[in-house]
Amino acid sequence: MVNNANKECGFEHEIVSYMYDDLGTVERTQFETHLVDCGACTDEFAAVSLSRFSVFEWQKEEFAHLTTPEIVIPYEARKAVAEKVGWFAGFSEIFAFARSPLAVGAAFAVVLGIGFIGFNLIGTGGNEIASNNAVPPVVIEQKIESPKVVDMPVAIVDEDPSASNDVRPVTAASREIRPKVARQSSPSRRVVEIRSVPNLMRQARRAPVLGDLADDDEDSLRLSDMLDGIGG
Amino acid sequence: MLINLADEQLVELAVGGDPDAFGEIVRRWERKIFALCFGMLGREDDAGDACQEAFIAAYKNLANFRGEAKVSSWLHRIAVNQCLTIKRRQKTRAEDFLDDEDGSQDRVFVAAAHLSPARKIEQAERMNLVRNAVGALPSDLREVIVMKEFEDMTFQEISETLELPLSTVKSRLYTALKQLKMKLERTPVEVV
Repeated sequence: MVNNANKECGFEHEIVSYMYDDLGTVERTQFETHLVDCGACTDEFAAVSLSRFSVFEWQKEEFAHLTTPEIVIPYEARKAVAEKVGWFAGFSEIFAFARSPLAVGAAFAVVLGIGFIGFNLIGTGGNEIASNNAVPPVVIEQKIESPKVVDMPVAIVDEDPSASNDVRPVTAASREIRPKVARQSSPSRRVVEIRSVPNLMRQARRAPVLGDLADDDEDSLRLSDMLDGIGG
Repeated sequence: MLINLADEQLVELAVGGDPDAFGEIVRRWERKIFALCFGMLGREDDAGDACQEAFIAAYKNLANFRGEAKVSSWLHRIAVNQCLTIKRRQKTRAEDFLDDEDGSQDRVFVAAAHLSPARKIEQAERMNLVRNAVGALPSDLREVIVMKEFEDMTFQEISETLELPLSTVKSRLYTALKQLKMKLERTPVEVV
């Protein structure tokens, strides 16, 4: 009976809107004016309000005091795991998004490029270090006193066997003394400029010849024996 | 003794000077009148004030009740008038004190400290009844009630969420509340 009377007045669909404060100012005033005059709508409104309040009370008693669960994303734990795994795992994780051959090839190319650049850097660095450590050429000027010339007969044997066998006395003064500069075989060697070297010293420095090597046990033909035979 | 009497008989006894008779009327109807006031005002503290003033007004006007309408309708009309009076008062107060427009205190529940053990048992039974009644609703009606009462969503938000017209959402909520009312009346809670 109540519902039929309520349907006749046409305000039944306004009950929910009014109850949840979803009406405009004009509609709300019209509904309130109608509610005072219409007993059927008042009873209907009271019945719907009781249902709503029951649900509200239930929600309040059983759910309102419950706290909303706090969802915490464990960033710290993720960070700790990443630190524990190590740098290689982190590096491989970069390429973990796609394990396709293209990604693997790209990773290999990157590693090759880094290695090539690093190798070049190490090479240029070594050269720079070597050049920095290079000793500048030092010219040693030795004050060498003019050698004492001793008239001493020196026999010069001409290498040509067809040459004459006469021995010419040679004095040290007759030889032209030329300053000799030691060859610089490598940048690290010192360049020594030799102004003059006495003949005796040069003789002492001369390279050993075959005849100097005395070998008593050797019975083979010797060059000195041949020369002696030619001279004799 | 008074429990077995009808509302009209209780009114007659109250008009005759029996204070317990009007107390029985209050005990029977206080929850429904409170729910009506809550439906109109939307706040429990305001609803409590309106409910109390409505019963005071009813007691003062007992002699004017002629029995042409049901007691419940008479009380409903008194409660509606009290709610409208409170609304007008709040509007005037809000114009004087703009700070009162802050709605942060809306729907703040203040637990009744005077609940007797019998009332607590009654309330627990009612909660169980409501839980079963809401659970027995069709899913399309239940989801609207949950979104509105539990999630505190607006009609527009519910409409967008369910992809339904706004009028359909309101109609479903109205239907849900009416079905809930019928389910609750079918198994009334025995008042201690």
